[in-house]
Amino acid sequence: MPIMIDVKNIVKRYGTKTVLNNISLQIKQGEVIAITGENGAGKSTLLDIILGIQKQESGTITYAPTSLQKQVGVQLQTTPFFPDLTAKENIQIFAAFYRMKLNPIQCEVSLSEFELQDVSHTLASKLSGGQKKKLAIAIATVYDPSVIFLDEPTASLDPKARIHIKQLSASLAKKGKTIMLTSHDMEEVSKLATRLLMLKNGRIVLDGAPEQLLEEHQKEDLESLYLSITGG
Amino acid sequence: MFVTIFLLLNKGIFRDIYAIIWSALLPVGLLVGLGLYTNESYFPQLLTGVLTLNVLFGAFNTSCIQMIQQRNQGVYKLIHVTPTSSLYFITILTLVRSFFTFVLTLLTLAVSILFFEWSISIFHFLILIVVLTLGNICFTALSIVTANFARHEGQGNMLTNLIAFPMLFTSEAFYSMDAAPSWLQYVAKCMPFSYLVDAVHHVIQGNNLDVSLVYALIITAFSLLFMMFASLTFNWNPGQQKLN
Repeated sequence: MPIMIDVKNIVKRYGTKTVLNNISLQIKQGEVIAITGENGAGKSTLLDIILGIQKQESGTITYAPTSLQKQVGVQLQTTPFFPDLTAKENIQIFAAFYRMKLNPIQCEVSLSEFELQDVSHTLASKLSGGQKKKLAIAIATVYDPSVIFLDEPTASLDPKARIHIKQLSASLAKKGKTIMLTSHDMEEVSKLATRLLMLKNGRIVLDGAPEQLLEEHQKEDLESLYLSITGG
Repeated sequence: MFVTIFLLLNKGIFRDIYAIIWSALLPVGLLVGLGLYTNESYFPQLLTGVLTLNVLFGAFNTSCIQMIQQRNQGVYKLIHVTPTSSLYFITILTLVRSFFTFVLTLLTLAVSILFFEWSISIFHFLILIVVLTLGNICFTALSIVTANFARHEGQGNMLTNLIAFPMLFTSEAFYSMDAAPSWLQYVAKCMPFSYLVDAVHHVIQGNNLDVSLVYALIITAFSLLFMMFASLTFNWNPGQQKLN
């Protein structure tokens, strides 16, 4: 599989604390990579640096092709929207930022794919947590990007919304999208990820296919593996 | 794409009824409140003060705070991963916020004409609109620069006050600076707001437009300078402000 993003020797510090210490990884086409680790392990920082939102102290990020960097779909942990615009208008405006003009049918299709058709005229500020996450993923996928970044897509959601978001992520993976997601949910990781990456103290301490890692560490499930590595 | 973004952002702004009411209350309230107790000869000075004050507070103070809010909510972070450049985004933001203040300007002018029987030639009216639009663009661009240096709304409020009040007090928005010390008059000449006030005053009084034109060009130069600086210092990401 061709390499889409090549991350080499990334170092990131906040003051005197080294958050990412010489991180290197290659993201290949069609991979579903789950980044996991304890709170503050640097998962979101790594995503931000790969996306160019934050600057690293040293190291390089190479996108192939270079134009790919501005053609990725992103769902941020904070689900930011324009609060005084409706769900539909938020999809339209972000599509426009991606230089894509949506016609009303495309907009409706995008909303119904994420079961948001009933709230299409609701202001983004009035949506529930689950609806906001769905809208965030709808925005991330509105222009059909080949690489999608999902930052804790199921965090702080009720079980029903969590299941639906997992189904949505799984359908994106089935479509052959390259996905990089951060998560604490080991069930989600085991169902979705083709590759697991665990961060601890700013370093990658696990990297491989979930089944392979379970075999290597002789663990029955990813949760036990997670606890054994984090020392829980 | 530009038009879609411009229209949708305006839609969002005009949905915030409370913000509109509060923003309109300052210029209209000030004009009506003071206009009832001033003589006819002072009215052009009062109108100059109210119109320019509306630009200063609407385009500068309010825009700055709203931009800090949106950035801290992460909206700009999400836009940053799109192919949108900072200059493109700043241009849209500037035009959107300027349009909002422009509508308030029209409202103030309508109140002047309807309630105070103030009159102006069509030609001077159009020039007045051009000058005020340039002022709106200039101070919205300055608000982006200011927002780039503030970490949160509290800092933004402090910074906008720090910039706006010296500009207001060294201008001739409400009183003449003729009796002010020469150094203060020199300071006023460095402030874009003084040029806006003088340009508006000249147009409202129906004076020769040569002076207003020169001042309009100076305001345009300030606008370009602020836009360039706003683009160079633009923060997409919360927590990366220049004064951390």
